[in-house]
Amino acid sequence: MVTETATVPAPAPALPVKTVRVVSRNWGKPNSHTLPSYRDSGGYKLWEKTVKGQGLKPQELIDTVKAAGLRGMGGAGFPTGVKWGFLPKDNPKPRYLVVNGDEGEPGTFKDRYIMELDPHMFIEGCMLSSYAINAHVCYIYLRGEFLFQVKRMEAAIDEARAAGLLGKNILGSGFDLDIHVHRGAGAYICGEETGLIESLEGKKGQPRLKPPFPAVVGVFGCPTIVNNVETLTHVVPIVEMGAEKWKALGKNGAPGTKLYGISGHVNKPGVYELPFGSTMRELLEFAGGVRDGKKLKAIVPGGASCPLLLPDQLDTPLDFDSIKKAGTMLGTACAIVMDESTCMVRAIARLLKFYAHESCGQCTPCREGTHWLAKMLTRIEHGEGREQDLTLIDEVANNIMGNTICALGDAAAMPTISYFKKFRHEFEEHVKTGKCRFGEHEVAPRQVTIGP
Amino acid sequence: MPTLKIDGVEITVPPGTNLVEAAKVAGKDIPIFCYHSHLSIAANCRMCLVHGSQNGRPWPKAMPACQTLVADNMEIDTCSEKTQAVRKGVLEFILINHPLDCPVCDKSGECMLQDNFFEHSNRPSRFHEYKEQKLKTYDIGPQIIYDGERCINCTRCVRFMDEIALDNQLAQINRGDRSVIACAEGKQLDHPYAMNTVDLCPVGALLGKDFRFQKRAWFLQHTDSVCPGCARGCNVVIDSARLENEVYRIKPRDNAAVNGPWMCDDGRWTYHQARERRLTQATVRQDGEHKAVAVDVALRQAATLVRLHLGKPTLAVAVSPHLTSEDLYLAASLQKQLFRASTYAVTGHAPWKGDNFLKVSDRNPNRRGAAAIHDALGLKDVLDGNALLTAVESGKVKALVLIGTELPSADFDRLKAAFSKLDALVVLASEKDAAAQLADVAIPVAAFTEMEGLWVNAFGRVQRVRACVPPKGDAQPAWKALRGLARQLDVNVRQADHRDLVVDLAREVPLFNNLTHESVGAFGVARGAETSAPRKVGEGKLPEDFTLPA
Ligand SMILES: Cc1cc2nc3c(=O)[nH]c(=O)nc-3n(C[C@H](O)[C@H](O)[C@H](O)COP(=O)(O)O)c2cc1C
Ligand code: SF4
Ligand code: SF4
Ligand code: FES
Repeated sequence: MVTETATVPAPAPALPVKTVRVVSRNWGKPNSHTLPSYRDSGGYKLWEKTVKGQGLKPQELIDTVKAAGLRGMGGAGFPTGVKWGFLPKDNPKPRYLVVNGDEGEPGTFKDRYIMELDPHMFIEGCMLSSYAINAHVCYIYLRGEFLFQVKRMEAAIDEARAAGLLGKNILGSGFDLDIHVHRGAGAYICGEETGLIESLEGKKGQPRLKPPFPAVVGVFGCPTIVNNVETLTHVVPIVEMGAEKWKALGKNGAPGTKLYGISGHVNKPGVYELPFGSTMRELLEFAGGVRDGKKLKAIVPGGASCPLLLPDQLDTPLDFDSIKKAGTMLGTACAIVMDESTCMVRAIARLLKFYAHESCGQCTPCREGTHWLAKMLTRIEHGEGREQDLTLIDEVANNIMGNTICALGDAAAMPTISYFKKFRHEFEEHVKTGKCRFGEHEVAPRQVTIGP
Repeated sequence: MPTLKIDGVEITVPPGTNLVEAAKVAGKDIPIFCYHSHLSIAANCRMCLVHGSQNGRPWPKAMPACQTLVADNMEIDTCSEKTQAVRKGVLEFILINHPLDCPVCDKSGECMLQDNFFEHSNRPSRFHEYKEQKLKTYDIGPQIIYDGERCINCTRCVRFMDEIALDNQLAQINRGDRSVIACAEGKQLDHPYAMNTVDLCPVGALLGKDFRFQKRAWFLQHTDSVCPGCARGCNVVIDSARLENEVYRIKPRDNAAVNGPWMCDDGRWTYHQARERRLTQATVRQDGEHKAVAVDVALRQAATLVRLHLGKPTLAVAVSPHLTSEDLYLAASLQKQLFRASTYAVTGHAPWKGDNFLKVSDRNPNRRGAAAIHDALGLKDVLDGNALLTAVESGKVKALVLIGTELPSADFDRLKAAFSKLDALVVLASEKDAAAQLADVAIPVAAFTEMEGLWVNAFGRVQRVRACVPPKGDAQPAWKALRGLARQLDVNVRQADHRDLVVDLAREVPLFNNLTHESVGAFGVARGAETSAPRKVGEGKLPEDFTLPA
């Protein structure tokens, strides 16, 4: 058993009343990460029942998840039950469940709390899901920096295995299941599901061409389901309370609950479990409003790759469809709040530096285009912008958009287009005056890479 | 079979065809870099992006033509402004970090990047930042230089090593615009087929040291021919410089029945033997000294030496399986009518270790042709090169006529000892090799880059060798030299020119029945049922100890 405490204090005590604690219900309890504590709150009863064949059958599990309308929480929002249904029926190869715990999207920090504070509920979610899709091996892929979370997950899996909840012939049911934790090396692109699969196979993390999708050809060429940590954790309450009851927890037409993260210029950054479909305004209120009484400037609603949400759009419900209508994306539902002191040119230049650094280098538009944008935007921020750059930003971003193998290219282009469109005057001012009104910054040294 | 429209042209092609190939059927050209018909699809360069529609609904974005397969009711546009705009964007991206050092790049003139840029963009760059600096002139292997700045990261080279050579010597390392191709630490790109990566490289990022800085591509003329390196007879293009009649390079030529688009590295270096160390003048030995003489004088001297032994047990005649079938046919006819030597042999290089890809163990390109001719003309008891050397060493043979000097042993001392037992050694040689140096009379003949004729590969395929440069110095095709020798021995050879020889060969030797040079053509004609197609992508094996986790 690991005795270290989580690096970040549990947010639970500070939560106002309106939250619904479903997947976060054990957070904040003493030793919430241990098996006894999880068992105390009724944990693993569902798994014991299911694996012994006294609960839902695999197809019923899939149907329940489908009926609940659970959608992927990793960023793309693909309906989970539908994805499970894509597994080929007549393929004799083994099937795998792969959990995406890479959590690399800037501003996103929800999965780590699940693993730190309630790893067993997550494991039970993996168990039920593996049972549903008839997988006997489940890989949990965690990002390289998640050293603490890796240890915690491994300890929890060991506990579950020792309690006979994992392994061969679980509780005499004849069902085998084992869960392995695989640690990545800290590359954002290994969060993209096929990049993750390559990395899991021991190769360089570079996304694969699709089709075929992982459900047909995944890890080791076998049918594979890739799901986010949070997605699979939601499976536990869904099966527990039934699709209808779970769905009713949501708001504004969205089903169930959601872990929302919020960071940036707010008073109480953290993760809040709210009814799915709560508005941006509500989330901002939970986070105690904008820091230091400053005025809100813009919000990135769901991880750095999403286009901006402006202060006049605060009443947008944070669910996949409503937020799309507002011209942006839910992404990982972890918002970054920026107040009036933020230089948008500097913000996007910094962001592009990230994407340029993380581009896997496979396809031309992303490999070259992200660096071009990063260099150009940095130059503008440092007062060396040219009149032509103002048309170039859009054109370069649009030449990346939609032309790449994976969505990282889009993830870099979308915010660029959005920041430029919504704050064009700031870019123009930088070019015209050669200055940044938000203050001078150190000029980054020129990077040169030579050597294999 | 799916029917689709490409720029309005309706075509029907087999299912599974990708759009790049389908466009060719419609007479359209979609620009590519990473796509290669003999490698797996990587779709990473994005050069082939095209817009289109399915069932009348436009695709939401441009799709890579190399990865997209044909379907019914598909419409593709390969040249609308929308598609062209995507292409311009991709080319601009590829070039932002490119060093633009075409003036000193050997690929210049045959570079896909130059071609695609001038055809599809030709727009000045709008890039105003500093360029990324990467590995330049990096010694990646014994034969190859790598230039990371020119590399467009198409991974053709990596895929060739993984999928065809089945030896993962290369990988793309680093990320983003720092990406380069490299070998594992302490390893080199030294596979015996590594030079294929140089052919595959669409730009000047991988260059063969052999050709580097030798000749600008636009001075080269290309001749379709066959590699003399082994009995597979890989189809090749021989590149020679027009003005100076010199060969500079051999590259593989795609022939699905023989070598696919590949060849081994050893085959590529064979042109050196035709360029260097050449015998360009006839020599006769006088008082232990080699004296350069006119070919006629040498032929007369040869006739004098041989005449004493005609039809006697002391005469041996040996032909090389590097000669054309026409040469071999004339030699065999003369053996019957003129030499009547008691020892007749087919020599040739000693075998090497073949491999499981292209190389076959016999290093001689026309042994099958020689055997077919000797069978048809009823020559019996034809010895091989080793038996010939043993016969010479035994002292039984007193006069030896070597037509072509490829011998199973290149050991100078052994040959010297053997040939010292002879009274007369007459050789027709293209190289100043041991035999030519030890000969009493040496007559220069054409090398494989200088001869026209037919070879038969190990699988019974008749293929055409072509002259791409004229014979060097006083050299002439072997059959002409033989005819000259016959005349000196008072026998008039009936065939007035090469064409007559081909006609007779085709008439009298069943393997060549009804064949002409034209009907053999650039790709050869299979005689017999043997096939020898090289392996394709996916035909390699997984490591045997691989079991799936279950
Ligand atoms: C560049 C990139 C990075 C991604 N990173 C993550 C990640 O860190 N965690 C994650 O769960 N999904 C990530 N995704 C999304 C995955 O590709 C995939 O959609 C997801 O894991 C599917 O699980 P879900 O259906 O449960 O959301 C990323 C996608 C892209 C294109
Ligand atoms: S879009 Fe970027 S990260 Fe994705 S495959 Fe292409 S280069 Fe790699
Ligand atoms: S070296 Fe040539 S073939 Fe290899 S990736 Fe670079 S451009 Fe492509
Ligand atoms: S040729 Fe199709 S993407 Fe490279």
